[in-house]
Amino acid sequence: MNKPEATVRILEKISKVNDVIASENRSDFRARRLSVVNVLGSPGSGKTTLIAATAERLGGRSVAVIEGDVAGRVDADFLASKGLPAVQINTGGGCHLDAGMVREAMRELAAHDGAIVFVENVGNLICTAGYDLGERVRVLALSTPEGDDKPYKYPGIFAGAEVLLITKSDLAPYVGFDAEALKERARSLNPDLVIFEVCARSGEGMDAWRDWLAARCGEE
Amino acid sequence: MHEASVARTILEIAERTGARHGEVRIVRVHVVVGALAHIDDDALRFAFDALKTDTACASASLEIDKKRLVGSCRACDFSFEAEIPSDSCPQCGGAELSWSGDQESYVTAIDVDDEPAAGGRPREGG
Repeated sequence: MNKPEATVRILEKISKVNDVIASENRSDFRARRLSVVNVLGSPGSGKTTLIAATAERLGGRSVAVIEGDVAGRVDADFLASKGLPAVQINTGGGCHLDAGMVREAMRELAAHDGAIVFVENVGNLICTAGYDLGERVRVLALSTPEGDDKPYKYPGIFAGAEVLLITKSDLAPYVGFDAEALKERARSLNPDLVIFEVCARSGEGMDAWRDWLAARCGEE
Repeated sequence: MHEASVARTILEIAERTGARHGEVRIVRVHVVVGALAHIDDDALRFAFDALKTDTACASASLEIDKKRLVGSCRACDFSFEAEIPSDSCPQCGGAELSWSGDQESYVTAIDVDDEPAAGGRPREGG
């Protein structure tokens, strides 16, 4: 027997719980004058090396790092060996960091007020794009060996980033990476995207990126 | 794979909405999935079905309205939908395209009837 049905219309964002915590994070960070930089990219795109090399060039600024990985503390140990305060988050299988994990990690992190805090997300071009952590800047690292076709394969992450760092720029000629084609494809999804080509090993492009970041993370 | 956490949030929103309308059984949950949300329909349905037991949605089905990317051509102004971005305009072949799509997904409605959910959670204080 069919019972009469009624439709209850609502419009509720599925990411709402995360968004509430992200917005609380944002006001906590502002109160402590922390500039939080969410670093996204594939495993092996060079996120950790990039963070260490950027921190080295930030001179007077205090820097701390939250590391997100499925397992292990390889990255946090590496950064600690460079003298950077670092806290490791293990997601235990989870494919992205969420705002709640960052809030917890921030309680443990010995970050000075006014610091730049890099949050290295889990290596993943998919769901990391869907979770606001309360960051000020969202950076996407794409290494040249990954290929210049990635904007068409993972459009969400390109659409949501503020800055794209093309890492391992020294390898471009060896892997057939067309930087101009990549930039055009990325900008078709995100016209305001700021793009730098960098090589952490040789230092090429790193000063321009550092200058941009230092200005963007200036005291408010 | 974050479809399980997405499904959990959908169930939570549907149950909370249903509870505001008294003793109802949730028959259907309607969601709109953004073109850039990177949510796979099959994985989401699988997670929804696996997690719905012992909730007010135990017998509910999930209706997914998947949004597509919208491309527009700067040369001829043609606007079109696609699953993934492509290099050229299907009308004039122009390569100067811009793409847009929502990263957000929403629960838009639940369908309910008056029969209390079998296997639903006992109501608080009841």
